[in-house]
Amino acid sequence: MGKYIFKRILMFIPVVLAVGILIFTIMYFVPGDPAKVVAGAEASEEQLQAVREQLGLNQPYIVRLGNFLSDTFLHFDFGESYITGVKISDELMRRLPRTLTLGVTTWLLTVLLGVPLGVAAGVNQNKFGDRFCMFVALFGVSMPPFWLGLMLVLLFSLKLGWLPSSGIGGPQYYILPCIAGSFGGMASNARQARSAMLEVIRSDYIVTARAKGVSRRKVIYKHALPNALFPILSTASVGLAHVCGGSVVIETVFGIPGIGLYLLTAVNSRDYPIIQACVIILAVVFAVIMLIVDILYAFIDPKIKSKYIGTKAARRKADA
Amino acid sequence: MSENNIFLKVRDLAVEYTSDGKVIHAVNGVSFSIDRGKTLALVGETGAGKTTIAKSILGILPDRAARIRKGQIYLDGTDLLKASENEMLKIRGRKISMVFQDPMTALNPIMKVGSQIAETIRIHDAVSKKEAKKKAADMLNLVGIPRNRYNNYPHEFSGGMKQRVIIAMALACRPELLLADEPTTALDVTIQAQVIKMIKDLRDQFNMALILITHDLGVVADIADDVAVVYAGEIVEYGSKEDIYLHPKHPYTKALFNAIPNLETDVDRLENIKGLPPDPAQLPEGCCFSPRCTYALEACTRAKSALATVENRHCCSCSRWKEIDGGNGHE
Amino acid sequence: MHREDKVKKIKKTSEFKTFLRRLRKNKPAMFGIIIFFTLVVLAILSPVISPYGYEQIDMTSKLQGPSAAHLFGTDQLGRDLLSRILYGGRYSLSLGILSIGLALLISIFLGSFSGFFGGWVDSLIMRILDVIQSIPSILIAIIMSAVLGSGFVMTIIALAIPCVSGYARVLRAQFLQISQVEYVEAATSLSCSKFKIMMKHILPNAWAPLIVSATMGVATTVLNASALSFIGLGIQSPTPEWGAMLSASRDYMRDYPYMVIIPGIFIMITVLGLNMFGDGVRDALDPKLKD
Repeated sequence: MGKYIFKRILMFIPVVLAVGILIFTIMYFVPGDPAKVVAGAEASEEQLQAVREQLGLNQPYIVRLGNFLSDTFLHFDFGESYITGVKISDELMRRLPRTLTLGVTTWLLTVLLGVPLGVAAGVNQNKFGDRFCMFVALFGVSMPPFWLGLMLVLLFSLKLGWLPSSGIGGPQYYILPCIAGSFGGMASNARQARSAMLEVIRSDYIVTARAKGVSRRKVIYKHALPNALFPILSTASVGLAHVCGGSVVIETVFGIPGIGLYLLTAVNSRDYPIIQACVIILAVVFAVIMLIVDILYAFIDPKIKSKYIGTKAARRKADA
Repeated sequence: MSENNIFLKVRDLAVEYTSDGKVIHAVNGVSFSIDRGKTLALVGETGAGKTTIAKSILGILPDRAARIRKGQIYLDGTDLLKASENEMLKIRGRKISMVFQDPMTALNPIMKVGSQIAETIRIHDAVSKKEAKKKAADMLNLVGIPRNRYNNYPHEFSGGMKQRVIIAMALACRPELLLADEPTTALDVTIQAQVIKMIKDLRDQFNMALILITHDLGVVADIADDVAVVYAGEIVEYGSKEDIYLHPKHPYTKALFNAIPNLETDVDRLENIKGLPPDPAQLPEGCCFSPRCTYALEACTRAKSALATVENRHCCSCSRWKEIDGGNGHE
Repeated sequence: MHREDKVKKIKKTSEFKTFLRRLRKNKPAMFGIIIFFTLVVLAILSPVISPYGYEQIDMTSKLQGPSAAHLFGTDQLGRDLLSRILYGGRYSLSLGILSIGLALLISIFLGSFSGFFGGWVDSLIMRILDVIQSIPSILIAIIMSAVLGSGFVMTIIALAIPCVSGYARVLRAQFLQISQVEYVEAATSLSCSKFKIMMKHILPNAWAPLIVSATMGVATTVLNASALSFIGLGIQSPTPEWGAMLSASRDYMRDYPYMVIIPGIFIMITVLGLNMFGDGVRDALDPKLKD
């Protein structure tokens, strides 16, 4: 198993590097002159030249790419903001915990509530509970999360005054953002979990299990559910991407000064180093969690397990 | 033979499925019986309703889609169709077991094969985990798989090996009746013979009754005592192996046998019988085979005829079997 | 071979007919597609049926709640919200449809190209798609619109790019699967143009998985488009795109909640209709899941 995990971590490195290269390259080809952003629109040609010199903007693409990658991945240095001159890595460290708190809570909600609901719906197919859940879930996947956020603010902050509408502070500040951010993912997890269950329940091995005299309950929880976990897990990890990306939107709605809002401000002011830094951070966080999901996969998938544990160990176990 | 000896008796069984808003008549009034230690072969084309018959006996038809319209299934005198789910749980895997058509998909892909066998044992026998494990390993050994493969997963086995595992699982609790649903169709020809021989040996060893579902007439000749020819959810001809093989009466049975020598490649397609089996959602009013039958008269398309005795237990549902036979003589 | 082709064609059309028959019988799916088409028709006809001009400012009747004169009320500049919603449908809906159309075109090209040449071309394309897929889709859309700037065409491109990798994968998988059967035979017997094989055999076979992901894709893209406009990228106010309208109305939410409620409901109805239709298409293709 260690070998598998090691291999997966090894595969993770080029992906992250590639994301870095991709982002840098896209930003490199953006029309417009970063020097103008830094020096201001009124700056003279000499001033611009000086800024280019200082930031290394006049060096060739490949040199700049090399510098960028080594700064980013070896020194965790994203440079300074073009506009405010604040060191980006400091700002990131300040903001990252907020985004992580929001993101992880949101994602956990989508999984821990969505998946069991979907499984239960699948098991009780076409009964009232199933139809009701799926009806609500259909709305869930169709509702824009930012609009849901606004509606929640309208009701719970402006009308009822129970919860704060924006900013950060105690845990109560995270309640509405988490609900708004997780409802869609919860709904989509429930829908996927339901169809995964239905798909698995009609498999031949379920009939085999029934033919053996396994009780209905055990057929579902011992034979069907573990097999349905594969597609459920991959949907859940896709949901994570939505949460990562959705953080921009949710942070905007609720005014949470996290990575997403940082990115958005930077996009609006054309502050390129910040854009690069935020995208890379979000992509890395996403990649790390995908890595964890992949490793979890290995624990339930015997095809991977047996490949890496090897038959020797299995044989020893059998003899014992 | 006295009534008491009859081990399994199926009477007038009819099953229908609902799918896409259409009612599909899969099994339409099937009756047969089988004694301990005997083998009955259900022969017929794919989709004739053979698997549905087997699943009805075991009570594992899909809940929502399938409905048993009428009939009784007596096992040792008790009607299985009236038994509660809890009673059925004790019968499945213990008294009646089933081997499925496609070994590639019939095993749970994320459970060790040994555990899948041990699970059956643990359900039915009051034994410790350790004992169940040992028994399961014994069963593997019995079907010719080394004990040390207990902890392997299904994907580590070939198709033939998987079918052996499934047989081991089915036989783990010494069932009195084994339902084998096309156990060799999905296997290579060389493996087929091995598996059939194994089923035959184990049947004799355990003195089980065996219902073999197949469309392979060679296998039937090898293993069966009685044969029931199934067409469109009905038994059209029933008799001992000798009756059916030496004196087939029903035009469909005859056509089945005629289909063999002419087909060099694909035995199970039976392409020599012209036309297709009827759509089970819209069965013809009269004899189901009449649209394809060369001997069909107008009367055949209007009314069904019941199974009529030919000789002893040999019966046939064709109303014209006498005339046809007179005209053509024995095959 | 000629006969075989014919048989296959018959099988294909009958498959397609059963699919349509099942789909027609699916009430939610029909309801969904009717909703969607109604919205499309309303958007197309908006210049004719709108009670007011969508840019018509009337400061004397600003911030009025829904009334007979203004069914959905008016905004802070006295513009009629109903007219703006109708007109905005043109943007919101066409963004969804055109982006997916563009994504499909690109991925048909990439997927068949990749599956077709195989070897290093295939590996390279697939690795690049891998990387794109490892970045959350709305982030890509955000970066793309940061790079490309706002505006209708640029937003379409920004929304299309993240969808490409999924579709290209489906097409490539289909291609590989089919090319194993047909390709050898056809290439040896006819040395017929590879491109022809591709267009004749691969694409018709890939329609089933593609139609499901494309319908759902339009739904997701309508959501993403509105999110993009909402955060101030993509289509921007005063253009009456629904997301942009929401964004512009936020400041008035406390006292004039209808200004944010109404555009959101329209986004939701659109996506709901598409999802209902998409579900129906999926069930019609794979009816076993239903019973």
